Amino acid sequence: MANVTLENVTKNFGDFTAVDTLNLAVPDAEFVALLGPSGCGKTTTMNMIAGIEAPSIGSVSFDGVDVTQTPVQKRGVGFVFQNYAIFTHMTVRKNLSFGLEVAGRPAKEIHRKVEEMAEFMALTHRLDQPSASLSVNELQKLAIGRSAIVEPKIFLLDEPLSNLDAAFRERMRSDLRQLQRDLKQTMVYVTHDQIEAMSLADRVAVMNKGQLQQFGSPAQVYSEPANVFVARFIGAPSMNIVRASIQHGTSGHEARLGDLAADAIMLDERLSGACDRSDALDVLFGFRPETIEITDENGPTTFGAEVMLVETVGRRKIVHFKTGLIDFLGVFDRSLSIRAGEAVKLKLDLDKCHLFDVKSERCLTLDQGGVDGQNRS
Amino acid sequence: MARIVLDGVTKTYGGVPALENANLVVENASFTSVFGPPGCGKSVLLRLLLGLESVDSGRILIDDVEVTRAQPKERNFSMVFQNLALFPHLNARDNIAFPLVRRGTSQNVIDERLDSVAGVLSISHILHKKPAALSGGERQRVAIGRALVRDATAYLMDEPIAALDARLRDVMRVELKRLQSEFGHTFVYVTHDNEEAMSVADRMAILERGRIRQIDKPDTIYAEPSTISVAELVGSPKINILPVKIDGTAITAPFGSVDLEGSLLDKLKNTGGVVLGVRPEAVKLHSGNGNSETGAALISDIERLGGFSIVTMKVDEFEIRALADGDPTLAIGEEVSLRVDAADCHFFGEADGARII
Repeated sequence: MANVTLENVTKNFGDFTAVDTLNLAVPDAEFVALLGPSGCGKTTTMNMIAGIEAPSIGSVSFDGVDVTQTPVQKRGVGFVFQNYAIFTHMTVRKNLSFGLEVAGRPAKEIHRKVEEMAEFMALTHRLDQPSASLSVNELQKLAIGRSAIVEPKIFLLDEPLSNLDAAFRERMRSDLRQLQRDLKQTMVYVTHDQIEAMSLADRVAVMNKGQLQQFGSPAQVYSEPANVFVARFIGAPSMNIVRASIQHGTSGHEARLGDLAADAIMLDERLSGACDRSDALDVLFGFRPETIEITDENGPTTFGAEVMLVETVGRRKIVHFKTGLIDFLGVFDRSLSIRAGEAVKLKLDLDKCHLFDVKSERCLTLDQGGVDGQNRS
Repeated sequence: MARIVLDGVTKTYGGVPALENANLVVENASFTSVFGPPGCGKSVLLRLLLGLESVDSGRILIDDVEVTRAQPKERNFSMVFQNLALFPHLNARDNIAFPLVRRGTSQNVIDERLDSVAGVLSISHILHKKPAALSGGERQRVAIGRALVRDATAYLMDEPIAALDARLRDVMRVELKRLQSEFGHTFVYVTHDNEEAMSVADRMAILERGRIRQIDKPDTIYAEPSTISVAELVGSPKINILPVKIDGTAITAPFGSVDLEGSLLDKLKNTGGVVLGVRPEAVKLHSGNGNSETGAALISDIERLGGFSIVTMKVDEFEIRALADGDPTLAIGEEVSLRVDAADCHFFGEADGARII
């Protein structure tokens, strides 16, 4: 167990900056996800924590001790990779005991820990079988168990679930959460899948183009996104973010979604305040597909829209709407009866709406002080 | 344009059946998805259809003409692969035009076709660029354009958008659907993603361990899965499969009793062993302790995913998953009561897994 601190870390590969001035503090025993699209710098960041790559600038420390120059084998980190790297010529038992044997632990302890881990991973019945006989899903379980059993100071996982099929991924997410609760290890988990990050992590570091976009709890990155990138990356389908013009009406501020939308949205105090602070006439208006309601009544936050397309995806209906020149999505229960071509009235929940600056794309409705999460422990 | 029929197709590799007695009708101008977990035989089905492999038994027909032994060229399918296989030295225009140029199509026709396809795919502005200069989504559109530019019996797609990021996949899914209906082509779409298979297609074939388990509208498959395994494959989070006790007129499940109307109850009673399937979204959660007929439902896990949460409860030795909106104020260890409407209950035979109600 250890806390990890990255201070002003930059990593250049030739002319390419993979990670740009990253400051990140992973508290002891927390599960932190590094989340972002491919090329965002998340794997490079993990490699620098592991000691596989050295930062071009900046430092990495564990428990306050600078380990920037410490080689990987002396950092006490455990790994799980996407391509599990199991010794397939050995039995499951041997794979699990390997790390403990290398560390010179007593045979009795090894036996006990192997049995416990096998039990936890539901691999007991497989213990004395060759690893080669395991399914893909069992192999990945074994890979995780083998790393966890040596109780490394820091546990690094690089997209460990991305080769698994959907149903098993659900199961493994739950197992990993349980594992982390039991082991209370510091875990850094690299993924491009926002569901995995939301599901597993105590905190999520959202990265894009080498830069940290936001570091916060899953609830924070979902409901208080720091900028347009985070707002769109977290949640599926993505948050609707549309241009809106702000008018100062008689009884407060109004937002018109798109230029041609007939109905204006009356803004509440929070959103009006954000407009005043930024002084902007145009903003980006963000609302999540799952927060739209269909209504019969007119109200201060209702507006008309046309149904363009309805997709039924299992338990949900994803409805494509158009108002003025603006396209956006709504998500509803599958029981909703709605057809393409219909005209409907929609209602926004302003508490769950966000405004973003058109140019900087930063969230205007958020107190920007806590965006990097450093002062929110 | 064509109606494609697989009639009792079987393919075996070294004694292991990869596809067994597959019967599938792909109607003309339809969008059919073939869905199944990895290793279920979907790629084999595609390869047999294309004519890259030959069937052991059974027949393949295109518009009632048997093509079981016909060469791939004679079957004239157009294909989009997951790894797009664009020519790196050709720009987008020449990549798309390639199938036409190879067939000696006149320049006028090529230009006309290309403009039409590029317009529909919104890629007219990037036609001069080479693949390396295009984004993932643009490359994907070019690959689809290359497949669509020529006339073909049907357009086959093998996980065509699996390599794209989530947001782009959402966009491309809708675009493919629109393309298919605008052109009126026959699309066969293979994927291991159940949501993609449901949203994109108007008919869906579920393939599992080499066998086609169900073919129907995606909505119908979701609402009335033909077997337990289909129910488990389609929909996420996965359906709860639970034991039930039928005693006189009472049906008792781990979450409590189910009020089933008389005729349905009789049907169940006449079937022998029965198991119950309940989708997580149908499990209604209430704070406070449950009813006396069953053990306490204790929350063992809460997966908070932003827009919704997956709540797992333990009742005796059984696990039940439920969905909750947003970020519920529930805690692990809390006792809750559960309710499920009879209309949301799926009953399957214990022995064969086949749907009863």
